[in-house]
Amino acid sequence: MPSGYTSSNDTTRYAPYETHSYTVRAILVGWKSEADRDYHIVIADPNAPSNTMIIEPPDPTCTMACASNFGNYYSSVRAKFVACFGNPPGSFTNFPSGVVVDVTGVAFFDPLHGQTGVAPNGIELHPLLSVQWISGTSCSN
Amino acid sequence: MDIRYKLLKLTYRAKTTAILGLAALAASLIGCGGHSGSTTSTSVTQAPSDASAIVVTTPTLAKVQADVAASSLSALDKNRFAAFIDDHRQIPNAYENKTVREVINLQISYEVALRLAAQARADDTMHKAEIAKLIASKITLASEGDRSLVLHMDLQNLTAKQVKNLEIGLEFDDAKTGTRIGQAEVQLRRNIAPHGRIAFDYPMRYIRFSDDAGPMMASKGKAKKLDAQVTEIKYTDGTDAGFDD
Repeated sequence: MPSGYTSSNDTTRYAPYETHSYTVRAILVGWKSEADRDYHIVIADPNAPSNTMIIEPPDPTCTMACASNFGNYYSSVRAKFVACFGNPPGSFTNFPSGVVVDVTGVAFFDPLHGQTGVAPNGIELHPLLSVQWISGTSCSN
Repeated sequence: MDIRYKLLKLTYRAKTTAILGLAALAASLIGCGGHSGSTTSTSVTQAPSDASAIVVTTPTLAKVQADVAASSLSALDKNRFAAFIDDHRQIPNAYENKTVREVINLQISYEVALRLAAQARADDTMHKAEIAKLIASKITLASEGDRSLVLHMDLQNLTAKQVKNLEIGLEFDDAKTGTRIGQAEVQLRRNIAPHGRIAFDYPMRYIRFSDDAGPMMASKGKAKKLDAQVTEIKYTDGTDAGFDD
């Protein structure tokens, strides 16, 4: 974890990782809509599919997400998921198998608290800013 | 979980790096010993074999399947390869131009997905049972208006500690079809004395349902099923129970 990150109420974005966006190629694993209305999406490494991490396009209408001025990115990426797979389920559900994507988002270290599919170090792409369908689906980009 | 959007607004400078493998991303970030840049994944999951490196194409699919069947790959991996091909006859781009190993990994990721979903269901069940020992909640839809609805909440603290805050997840489903209409989270700041009980009406504007606000308004007067779950409890002594997202 980044130095100094000790509390789940810590509101600091720690440079360099949490102030940069990253793009990864990944396999979609599963998803759900969380109570806070973020989409909780788990992806896997195509080269080591037991390695998973979380990506989250947040609710664009919640107060703080809107304040970031990236709400249109969140809306767009959520709409792409809904167009492809329907509304996210309330409980964690697997995606159809074999869907490969490129996803881009800002790194965020979430304290470990038993999240489904969390990376060993809690790293997430959160907020998720974009998704591109690569293969395994007929959904259009 | 407070995701720190406020400071993101101030400090975020988008700089997209080259495409990373997840393992590379994690490796570059764990321990802060790496760097964000054009790292590529170096993880290897299986010992290499000739069959693993064969590239699958639609015209050669039958031969590739025969080669895989006759190869030294494990029976498990052979079955994975066969299962994935069978499941994706209608979506050939799922395997087209991928190596046999990549196809096998796609099937493994699906196995991971099924395992995670089963574990999540078990965790949810356990979590609800744990919360039920701490607080008894009865939350019902009291009334619906044009712009808001009213929930009636009846909450009984089953512990010897004073409750300070509660987080409650709400989900309204269509009573006939079972499809979800709206979802929201309530963060309640109410003191509940040790073993105490409070009951009150809680008005909520439909806008609290975010992009489900429209469907919620449209469902006014229609039969709905409300699933309300206390997801997190914070006590005045600084302890908490449950989990947030």
